[in-house]
Amino acid sequence: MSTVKQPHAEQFTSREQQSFAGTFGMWVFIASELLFFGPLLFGYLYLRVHYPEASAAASRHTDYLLGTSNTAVLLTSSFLMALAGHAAESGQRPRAMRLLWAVAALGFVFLVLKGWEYHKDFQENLFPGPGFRPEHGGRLQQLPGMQLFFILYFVATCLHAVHLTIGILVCLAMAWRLRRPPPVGVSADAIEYAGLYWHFVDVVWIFLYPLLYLVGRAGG
Amino acid sequence: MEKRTRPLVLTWLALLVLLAISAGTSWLRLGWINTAIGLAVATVKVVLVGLVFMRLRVTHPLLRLTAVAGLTTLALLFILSGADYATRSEVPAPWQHPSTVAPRLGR
Repeated sequence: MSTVKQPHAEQFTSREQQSFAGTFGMWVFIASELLFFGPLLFGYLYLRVHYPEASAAASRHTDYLLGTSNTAVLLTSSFLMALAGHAAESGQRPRAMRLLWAVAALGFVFLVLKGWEYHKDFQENLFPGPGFRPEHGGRLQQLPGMQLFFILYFVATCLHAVHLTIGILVCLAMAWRLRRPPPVGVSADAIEYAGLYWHFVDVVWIFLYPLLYLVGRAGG
Repeated sequence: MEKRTRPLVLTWLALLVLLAISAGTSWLRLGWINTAIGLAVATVKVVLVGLVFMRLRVTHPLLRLTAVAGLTTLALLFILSGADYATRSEVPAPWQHPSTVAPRLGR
């Protein structure tokens, strides 16, 4: 346990106020990130209302197994991230460091699985454009709607992957900087902020998963 | 299991069970109920992540309010944009094959 009281920046009256301001700032950022992802969800709502059969047919072309395993990977990474936050808070810095490495590794596993899925999507001609030719299922008049679904699929998952990549880099940087004690090394507050961001990226995926992978799974 | 981390472990297990529920029920042929189950399970998962992992359960009310403000703003924007799309009929342009249309280059 580190019992040394950490100093605070001069614009704050106490260390508690400083870490509360940081957490508050992170939550405001997360709320704005929600509005950043929001239009994609609205686009999805429009698509489901205007092209119900086409979007169900298109969602059957996504990879159920990869999507489900990726969800499990992200949920587990979020759990480890929460453990890392607790460990850093109670001064167990080596443990927090190991957990952050594990979180980054799981994030990387997610990206690898996602990349493999993209590769399969390209092979099945599911990328929107002149070459869009889903092999099985989907009638000709459904093709425009199916293309819209896949535009949304690629934009949403790419945007999520970009956020996850940033999260992995943040985890690695935090794990690296945990080697030294504060104020040279990183404080437990910073792990908490990184955790909030990571959990938000997880939350986005929790919603993308049923919308992109599950809706038309049982057949239309 | 340490006492302090027990809620985290239980939440993680609950999240995996919820994932199994949504993944499993998606193979039952229930029509729109499939989407409803998927979204309901996702909402429960997000509430769990928010309350336990993001500590909204024990945190300052201002932070909870910030999270709710984000959701409310998103809901308002959904309503406003949705009202626009819901009150207009879609008039698709007649589909023309590119080869049947004379090329218009320049003016």
